[in-house]
Amino acid sequence: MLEDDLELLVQSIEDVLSNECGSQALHKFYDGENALDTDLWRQASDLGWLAIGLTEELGGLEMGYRGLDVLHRALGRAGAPGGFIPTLVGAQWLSQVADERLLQELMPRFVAGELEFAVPAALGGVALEERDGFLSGTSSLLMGGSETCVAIVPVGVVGGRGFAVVEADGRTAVMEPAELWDRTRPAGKLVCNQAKPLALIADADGAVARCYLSNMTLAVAADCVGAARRIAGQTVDYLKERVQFGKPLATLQALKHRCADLFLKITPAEDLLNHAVDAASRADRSALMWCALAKAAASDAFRFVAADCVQLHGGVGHTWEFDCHIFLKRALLNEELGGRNAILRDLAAEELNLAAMKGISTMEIAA
Amino acid sequence: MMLSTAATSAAAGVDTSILDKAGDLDAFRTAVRTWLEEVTARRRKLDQDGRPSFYDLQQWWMAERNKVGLGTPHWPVKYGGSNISLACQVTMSEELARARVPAMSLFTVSLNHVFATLSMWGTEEQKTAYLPEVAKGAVWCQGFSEPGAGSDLASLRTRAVRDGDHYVVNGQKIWSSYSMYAGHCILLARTNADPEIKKQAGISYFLMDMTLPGVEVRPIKQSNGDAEFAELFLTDVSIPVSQRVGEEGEGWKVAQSTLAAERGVLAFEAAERLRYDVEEFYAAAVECSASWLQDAEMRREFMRLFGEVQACRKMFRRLLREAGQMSPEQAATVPQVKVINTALRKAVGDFMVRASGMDAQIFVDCEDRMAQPVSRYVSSFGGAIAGGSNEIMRNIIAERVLGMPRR
Ligand SMILES: Cc1cc2nc3c(=O)[nH]c(=O)nc-3n(C[C@H](O)[C@H](O)[C@H](O)COP(=O)(O)OP(=O)(O)OC[C@H]3O[C@@H](n4cnc5c(N)ncnc54)[C@H](O)[C@@H]3O)c2cc1C
Repeated sequence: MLEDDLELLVQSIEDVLSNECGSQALHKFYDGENALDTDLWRQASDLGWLAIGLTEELGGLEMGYRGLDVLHRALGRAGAPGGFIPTLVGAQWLSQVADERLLQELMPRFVAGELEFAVPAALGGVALEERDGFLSGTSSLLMGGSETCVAIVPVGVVGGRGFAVVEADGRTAVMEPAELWDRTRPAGKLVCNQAKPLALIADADGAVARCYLSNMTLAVAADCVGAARRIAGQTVDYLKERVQFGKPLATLQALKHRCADLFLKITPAEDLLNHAVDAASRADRSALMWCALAKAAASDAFRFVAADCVQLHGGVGHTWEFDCHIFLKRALLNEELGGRNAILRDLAAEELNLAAMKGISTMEIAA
Repeated sequence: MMLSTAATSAAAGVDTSILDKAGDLDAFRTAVRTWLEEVTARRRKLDQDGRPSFYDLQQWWMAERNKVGLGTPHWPVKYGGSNISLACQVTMSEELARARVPAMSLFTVSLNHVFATLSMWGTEEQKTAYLPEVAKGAVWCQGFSEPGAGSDLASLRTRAVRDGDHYVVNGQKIWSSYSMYAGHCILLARTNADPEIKKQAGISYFLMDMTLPGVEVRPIKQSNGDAEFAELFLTDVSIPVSQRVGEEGEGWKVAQSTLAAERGVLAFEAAERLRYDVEEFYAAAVECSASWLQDAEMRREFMRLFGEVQACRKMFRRLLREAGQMSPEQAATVPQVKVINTALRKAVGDFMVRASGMDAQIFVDCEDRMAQPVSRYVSSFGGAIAGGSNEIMRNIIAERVLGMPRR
């Protein structure tokens, strides 16, 4: 059942993205000549993509992490602009940590496509200050940039850490956009001046932060492998067409090996991600460890691939008009999103250590 | 390093106080350093009065160098140079890098390629017509590559057809750096398209005036958002025969000296600059207690690169010493230099992006984009592609240095 639904979903996503988000449209967006991000956003909400991961009670399609994975891979493959990662991560995260009241308030708006979320680009930055239920200060960088988004930001609440859910209102809570080198991703900082949050979520034991990490790392990892496969495939196609010395460059063994290596980097990252998605879907105890490892592997692979694709294209790879730089910049940003790969591997090491001390093996693969 | 005799003459109106010390390396260094401090102070003043454009800054800098006879120090006096020794040139490059003055990017082709080509192949008229102008800051560009002829340069198709005392040129060139500022272009075009002869044998070398009718320049934006190179569209451009360098059909041979200049000399100062980039990056990290200093993996990576930068500088010094005894074509190590140097710049750029964390991802709209790690990194691919890509260099290393058979 899920398999059939997923297949239909993949088909519909790919159709829309290949029609709307081709290379030309993407370049126009990059140069500020169209509103591809909002166009895609509207389509996504009309077609129900935004609700893929949520349960039916929240108005979702109940496809969980498998569905989200498919969507993020497709968006990555297209280099799709917009706040898809923060919004989908934000919704999934809240669905796991927020109380009934907040979910009733936000999720119908989200499913209807009326609400974008902003989430931390990574944890560990500055936290907002909370006093008597009001917030002040400037957040660290958030992904998601719409002026009226709902931001989920770390706060230093009295007696511990936690997160605040704040609706940007343009007065007490203002999203100040930040322009990134990767122009496909909206981002900004939330500036609060006695802002009243929609909710405060305490996180004394770090469970809420762990939830962010699983959701964010899975989303970014999927984006990485989708994007890496796309730019690698495009590079192979280019070398098949580009003739120098009287024959296609693709006939040169040195370049064949380089291309083969691109795919040899991507494939294990994809399989590790598949494993992490399964683990997260089953709410496996070792899920966070696998999510962290999958993101690190996927982002390392994407970064390697995107860089070599520039070189393999030669002069055109160095230009603004070709796709290579869009993907390279996306790869550079992805390395930071959800936490740098080194930090994620350290986190995974802690998880492994905890499991080992309890005598649990984390390496079982479920049928 | 051997010291040759100091320059004894220089163009009229030139302050020779630095050149006069060229016989004593320490005194020369001190004089250059003092002068650079003054220039840097003037530069600061210039910036305060409104930041000059790239072009204005480059021309200002060339003029400053010319005031003291250091515009083209490696050239013979006859053509507007100062003919200082290799040791002095090395010292000067070290000091330029240390003072963080701008690299003379706009003049790369004129100072190196044009000079290398004309001094070996140019007629006396060509030399006297162009070299003194170049020494004063005339900008040249290089029109070699074409959309269909990159690594396979010899397959170029731009046609030059002899018509009396002129050639009529038609075709398209691409990736011509700074050509939007250039007054002249060193151009390769096909004078013989006979498929029976070797492709290389049909090529001739020209000096093209960029203001001639039929020359159109269309800038191309590169990955960091700046437009430093351009396409040249040539339609019935009429170039006098006197502007050909070498005989008809000898262009490929002439171009080899141009390319040798590109692959050889340019890299030394760049490596010296990399030293300060790396040192400053480290100092800034210490100053603000950057988080990567606490990360063992990052520290090790930095130290590996740090060692490689030093190795690179050491290598250049050795090669420059050896170069005194051989022509650039003989220097089989030159392709190795190019690959090592450009791969290292990529690796350093890559490191700086990651070490700078999320901050580096934020785009800052300023004149000097290269100060931003992402710009620096994405631009670093240019060096590994231009001037014979690193893949082509590896072929040369394998075939000419290691003696491995051609396919
Ligand atoms: C920043 C920059 C500045 C430049 N400035 C100038 C300039 O001022 N004037 C000028 O004339 N040109 C200039 N160039 C052009 C430059 O010389 C060419 O880009 C270069 O020669 C490569 O050609 P190409 O871009 O057509 O790549 P292609 O030849 O199409 O190569 C594509 C890829 O295939 C690889 N490849 C090609 N052949 C082989 C082979 N035999 N074995 C293994 N791998 C191979 C290449 O290394 C590259 O990775 C500049 C280029 C850049 C990037």
